[in-house]
Amino acid sequence: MSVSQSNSSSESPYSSNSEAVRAELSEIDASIRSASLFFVISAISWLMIGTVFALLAAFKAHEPDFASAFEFLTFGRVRSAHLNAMALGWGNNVIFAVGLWIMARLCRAPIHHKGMLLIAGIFWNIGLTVGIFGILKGDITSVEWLEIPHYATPLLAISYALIGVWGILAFRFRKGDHVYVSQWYILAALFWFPWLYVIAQIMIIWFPARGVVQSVTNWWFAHNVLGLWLTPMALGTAYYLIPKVLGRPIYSYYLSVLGFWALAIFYNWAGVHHLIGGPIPVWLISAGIVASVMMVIPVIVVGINHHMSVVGLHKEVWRSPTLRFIVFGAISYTLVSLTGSAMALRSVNEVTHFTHFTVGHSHHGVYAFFTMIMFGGVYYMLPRMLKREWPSAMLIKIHFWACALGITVMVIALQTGGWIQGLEMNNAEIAFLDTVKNTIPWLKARSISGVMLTIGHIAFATNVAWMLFAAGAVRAKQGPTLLDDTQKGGIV
Amino acid sequence: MSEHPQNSASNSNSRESMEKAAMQDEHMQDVHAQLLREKEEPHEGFSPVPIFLMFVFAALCFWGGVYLVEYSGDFQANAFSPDFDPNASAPKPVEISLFDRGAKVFRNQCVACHQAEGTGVPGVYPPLAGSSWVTGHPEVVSRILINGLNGKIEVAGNTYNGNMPAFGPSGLALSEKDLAGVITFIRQSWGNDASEVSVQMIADYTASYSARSTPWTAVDVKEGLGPVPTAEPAVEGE
Repeated sequence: MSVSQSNSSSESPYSSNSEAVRAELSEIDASIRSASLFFVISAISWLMIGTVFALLAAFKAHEPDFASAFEFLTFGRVRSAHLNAMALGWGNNVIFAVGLWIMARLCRAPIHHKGMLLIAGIFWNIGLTVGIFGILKGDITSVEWLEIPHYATPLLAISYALIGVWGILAFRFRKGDHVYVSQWYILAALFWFPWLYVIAQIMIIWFPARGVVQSVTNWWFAHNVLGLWLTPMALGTAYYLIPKVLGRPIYSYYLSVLGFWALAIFYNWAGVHHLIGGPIPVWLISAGIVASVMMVIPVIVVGINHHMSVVGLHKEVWRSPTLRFIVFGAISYTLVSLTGSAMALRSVNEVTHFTHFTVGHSHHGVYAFFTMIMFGGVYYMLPRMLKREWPSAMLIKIHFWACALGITVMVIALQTGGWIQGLEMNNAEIAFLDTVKNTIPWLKARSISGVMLTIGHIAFATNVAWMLFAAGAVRAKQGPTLLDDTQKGGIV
Repeated sequence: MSEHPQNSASNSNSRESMEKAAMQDEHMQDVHAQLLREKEEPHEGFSPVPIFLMFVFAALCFWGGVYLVEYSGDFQANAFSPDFDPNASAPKPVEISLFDRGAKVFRNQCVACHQAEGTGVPGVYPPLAGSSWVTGHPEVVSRILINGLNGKIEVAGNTYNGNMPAFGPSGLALSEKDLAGVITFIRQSWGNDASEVSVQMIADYTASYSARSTPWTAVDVKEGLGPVPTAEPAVEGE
């Protein structure tokens, strides 16, 4: 790897070529600033709201009487409110903030009519608020991942279209010949998500299809939201920020191509492995299982590509708030995907299906992979948007350690407990109620991990708020906020 | 892209000088601090794909194919039915009637001598149409088919002297079903109107006569006949 070469060119930002690029980037950043800030603030607000719902749901799992006096705080509603607040509130808002910004930068195309983007973003959040209130009020649908009642979803679909189109327009008016790998992922996801969402809404909520077609559509949607919306956005972010922070090229263009197309080809088949043993044609399930296992290809490829891009620079990774989160997320991507491929196999699924193992797996993916990478994206983006430095390295460290340890505890607790639960449920000798009781210690561990994540989120939100409403001391702060003070350097 | 007028204006006259100025102006430098220390926009290297990955992928694809074949339930919608038999999916051969089967056997085995219309060849091969040997006692025609027939025979007023080959186990070894079919066919074609000869009857006759090594003659073929089976066996009639 020619680290020295790429470093030497980036260490002299005063060369005229670099100057022009920087002026362009500053223009692009300015063009999307108001919308991105709005999306980041919305995302963090939803993250905190979703965390509250998550804690409620987690406590209720082992203390059923906890806060059960109110109908709107019953488990079914709180759990779904948590899922939608996190997926569509935190996930989508942070994607709109980071994904669109990266897209605009890589396309070297400023966002025009940023007011439209902002208004669409406001409507997205209004629609989501209505939806979450609908869920709590009792208008929840019975379809997992699509719980938001029918009166809120059209607004979500339309406002998404008005947000996503700006990423597509930026691509349409891009400069330069080369299209970078992050652009493929983000552009594709901008098309995939509306397709998934609208088809699922039509076939399940608006004009319901008959019979098991609904459940096939349901899991096609629910799994693809992870794989064709959150995953490509997170991978696009990692692909942008790893070389950006390290000043070193991505290892291999060929691996990037292979990883992208393998994801695009295999992922959308995979969702039906949720219906193993269900009353749908068995070949459909088998196709889903094969596709799930074939996902090993893009996962290995992306893993190698990311690993080879950071190898040897572990100190820099550890020092940079951005990369510490992103590398944690990238490693989690490999782990969670390989687990997922294994879980799709019938022999494994017989144990894990209908247990907490699956819950652990989904948090492994959405949190340890997607959310951690997006945290990293926000850590890189906000200083450029606000032209301020992060006020506190300590808060960043608290954020990282609380979240990294918290999610690790959660995944280990739920997957160990879930595996035991699955073995016990398959054993006819053990009474069902005993299997339920035996999960309680693991669920308590999950609640502890939830508290840890909450601490991390509070540290993050505090740091962001501090930065936004900066005191003079923060404004005057110079140089990047790094997590290791022994070496000063230009990496954030 | 289509440049906005204000962009191109500001770009053309001031970008260079503005950026140059930024290098000296402390306030500007502070404002752009994050941008200034940024590394360049990312790009990709072109390291080749490790060759071992190709083997991994090939193995995965192979496994995928095997798995799909093993666990596809033969692409049947009823794969979960308790009555589903995974081996029953191969299409069953269409069962045709004895008469139609016989027609095929006749075209393959008999038509060269006895002719398509069962007329035979005058003086050489005896006719089947209107022959009492064919339409008479079923055991007679069955014996002739199983063991063959040698020597003089009078058919429909003409005398023939030839060799009818054996089609039973000692001869051309047609299956019992084929023998039953072709006998039924000749007994019911070209104006002949005799009873069907079932597979069961042929099985019985074959069991009786397969040990016989010599062909019949026109005389002994009519000797020692069993009773004509009157009731058709219940299992018959495919």
